[in-house]
Amino acid sequence: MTDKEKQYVEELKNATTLPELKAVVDKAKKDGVKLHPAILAQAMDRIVDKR
Amino acid sequence: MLNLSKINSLFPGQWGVPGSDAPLGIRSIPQSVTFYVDFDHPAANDANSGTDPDAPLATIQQAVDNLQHDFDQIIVRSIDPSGENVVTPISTATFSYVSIIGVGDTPYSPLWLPRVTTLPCLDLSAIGWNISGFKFGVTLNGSAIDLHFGDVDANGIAIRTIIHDNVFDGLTTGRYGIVSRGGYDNWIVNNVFQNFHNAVAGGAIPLWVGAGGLALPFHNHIIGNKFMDSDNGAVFPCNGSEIKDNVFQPVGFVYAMTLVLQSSLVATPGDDNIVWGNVFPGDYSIVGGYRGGAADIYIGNLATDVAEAEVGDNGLTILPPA
Repeated sequence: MTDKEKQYVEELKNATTLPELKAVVDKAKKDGVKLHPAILAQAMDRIVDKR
Repeated sequence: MLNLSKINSLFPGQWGVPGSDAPLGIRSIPQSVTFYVDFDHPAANDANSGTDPDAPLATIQQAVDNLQHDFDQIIVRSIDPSGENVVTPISTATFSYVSIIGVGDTPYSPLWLPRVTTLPCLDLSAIGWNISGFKFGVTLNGSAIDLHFGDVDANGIAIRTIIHDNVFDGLTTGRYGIVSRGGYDNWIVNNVFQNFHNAVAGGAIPLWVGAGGLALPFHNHIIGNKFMDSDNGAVFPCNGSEIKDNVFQPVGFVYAMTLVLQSSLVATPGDDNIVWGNVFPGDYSIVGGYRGGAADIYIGNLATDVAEAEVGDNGLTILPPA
């Protein structure tokens, strides 16, 4: 995993709402970084299951 | 609200299953509420509470608007023949794990048409909903079910959805059956997709991954579906998903498929899927309408095209199509 990927993974982990998470995903896409779908799913599960 | 009279029952009654004929239905868990929709009922009215089958709601939308808890159920006996375009609120504004269950006079009824043909019958942006027992009729360029994944609203996410035992009928003019915007952990099981034919470029696609979502479908389960007599089959680029026990009919009674099964596309490559136990008639190749990702596993599918190097002499696939 590149440093840039690691940075986005950390940002995903820090997202506390879905809009925050979407902002990270959109930023990564613009930056040309492909996030692993499992990491995205984990981050999303953490947010929606905490409600 | 109905009294909780018994637990662990089935609705409606099933022949040979004792105790399954509870005439008033049952909640799946004690704190959930069952709403009834029966457009044809003389007392149907959206001003009713909808919890009494003898005073049901007239529309599914009203039942969706009336939901009170996670795990609530909507039992649908009949639908306005003019159709309905039902829109769920986003996941933060509605409840999760809601079931919408069709219980018409036949296993695949009531018929759920779109009132506005360019819009989905069910526009789903909530978590863990379970849709079963309907016959969706799709005409023109709309879809039966649109599963959002952050494409319209960041909180609009259809994940953990279960869509099972429905018929999706394109009625010879419809374009899309299920459109996924990329949600993960969605289950599409034991459905029939048939008669999707549309004059627009590329034709109709019964199971399709639409644009705009946060990611491609991940950990989806496409199991036991039948794709019959349509312009295309499943154009479903995805990652880490399971595609098994589906039957494809590349050449149907009237229509022939250009794309039969695509678990990966050139423009949107999917990968790491496990594709096994499906029935793949016809030309098992990319030209023939089959395409997998570089690391997809296509093993043990029944294929008639034993001339391909990717198919064993016994008719079982050993590699993705090439």
